[in-house]
Amino acid sequence: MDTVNLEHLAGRRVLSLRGKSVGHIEEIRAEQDGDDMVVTEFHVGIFAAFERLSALALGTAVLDFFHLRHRDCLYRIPWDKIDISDPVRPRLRCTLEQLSQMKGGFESKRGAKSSKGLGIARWSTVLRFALAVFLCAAAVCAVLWYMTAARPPFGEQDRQFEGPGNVAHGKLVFAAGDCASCHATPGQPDRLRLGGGMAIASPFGTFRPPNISPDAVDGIGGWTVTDLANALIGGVSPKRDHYYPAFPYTSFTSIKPDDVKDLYAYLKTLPKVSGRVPPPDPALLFSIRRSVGIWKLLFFRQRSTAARFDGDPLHDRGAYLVETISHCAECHSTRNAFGAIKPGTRFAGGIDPQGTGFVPNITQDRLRGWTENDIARMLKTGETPNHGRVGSSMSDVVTNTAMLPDSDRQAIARYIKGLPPIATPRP
Amino acid sequence: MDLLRDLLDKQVLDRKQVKIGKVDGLVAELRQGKPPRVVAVELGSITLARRLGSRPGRLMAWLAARFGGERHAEPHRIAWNKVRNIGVDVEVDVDVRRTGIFDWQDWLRDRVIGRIPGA
Repeated sequence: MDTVNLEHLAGRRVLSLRGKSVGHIEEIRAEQDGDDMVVTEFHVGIFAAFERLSALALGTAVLDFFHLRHRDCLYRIPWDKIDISDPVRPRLRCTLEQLSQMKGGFESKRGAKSSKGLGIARWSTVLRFALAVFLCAAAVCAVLWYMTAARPPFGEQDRQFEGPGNVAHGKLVFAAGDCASCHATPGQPDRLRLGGGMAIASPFGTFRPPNISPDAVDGIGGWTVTDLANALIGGVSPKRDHYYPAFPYTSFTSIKPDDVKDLYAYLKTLPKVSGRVPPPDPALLFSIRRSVGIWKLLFFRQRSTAARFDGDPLHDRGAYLVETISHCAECHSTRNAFGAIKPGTRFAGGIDPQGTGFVPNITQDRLRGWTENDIARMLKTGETPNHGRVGSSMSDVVTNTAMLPDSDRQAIARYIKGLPPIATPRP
Repeated sequence: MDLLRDLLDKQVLDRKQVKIGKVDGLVAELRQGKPPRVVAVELGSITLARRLGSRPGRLMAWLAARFGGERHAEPHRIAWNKVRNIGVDVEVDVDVRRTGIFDWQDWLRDRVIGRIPGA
């Protein structure tokens, strides 16, 4: 008795009399004949794997999507038209002309199941659309993920930060930058103990300036000067996280490298304060740091400045101090729904960033009656020309600006006096 | 019936509904002038290995004969007339205890698993 293992035929290539491939065996049809089960026909096509895996609908839909399916290669071949004595090499027993007449059987079967065919077509369209949407979404996510990564602007070996900084000049940068107003430990009188922790409430959550004392564990004692530069200029932490823009790196970004070096040298001389501040408590939308990357894409231009220079050394020094180091616009401007400064309201005052008060307009719309000396005197003493005193957080600022040399206060005054008048936005 | 889709790789149950393996192979008799007739289903690792190619099939047959004796050198074959029902599973009118299908399992149970304390 000659026998053959039928499972060996599955997926086998069928060759014509001339040795040409006509497809693969997809299925073996059998019927009951009395007590026997006899093979009646073989399905030969190019989708043997799909048929075998019961995944014809899905598989053909994918092939349709890529325009790879050719339905003119499906045959139902009677048992006597294929020689299966060698199941590894099944061969046709008829000519290709005869074979072409066997195509209709399968097509008519498909025709009888036209609704199923339509279903496959519909699913094909749906799958194609879903796949396109998925691919687009994946591409957008990948691009966004790449674009919102926190990339430090400087590497560790950056030569512009080599060499020791000037501590005395760093102290002036520290004062002009008003660092102590936010980073000094609250509830104690020493403004040079920079343990951080003062809660800054805002519409975007509560933020607490971190410990920037030279403590190696809780402060920035382990930082390099490059780390400080990356924080100030790029808004990127040594751990490659974005800083929330409550830290005004949007202004600091145009700081000169030498000033970073000097500030770093000065910070190293301050007392170490142990203790780490609680983490920020941002609103839900900003609780994922990566979202700050999107904010930066929209509103942050690294190393850019809004300063206007006119060649006058005093004015230009004032421009640098006001727009960069002292970051005056961070408070004296109105912010948009995302917390970024509205360019048209720069220095024109408005609701303060904490949303609890009103910051005055310091353009010529309001300070027309002030002279440069009035402004410089206010920055030294806190006194206004009309015999009043600045209050609130500006009194902290004056504590710092009072430590600047007269020339720097005069420079700030020159630049402020030159700001074009802008009407105060209505609260 | 589509033999590859409806029969191949289906679970096989003996007359006491014991799972004895899967339909790993289908044996057909070639007859002169008549359509091939399915005469048996095959189960076991040798049949499975033969589906990968003749060389893995020969290797598996040699291993089975080497460790189990000549009795295990051929696949387990169940005659087609013992097939009672083909549905989700394939039910056959065979008592698995009278076949060598579970020899390996019995050996493993008696010689290894049964000697593990608490097993």
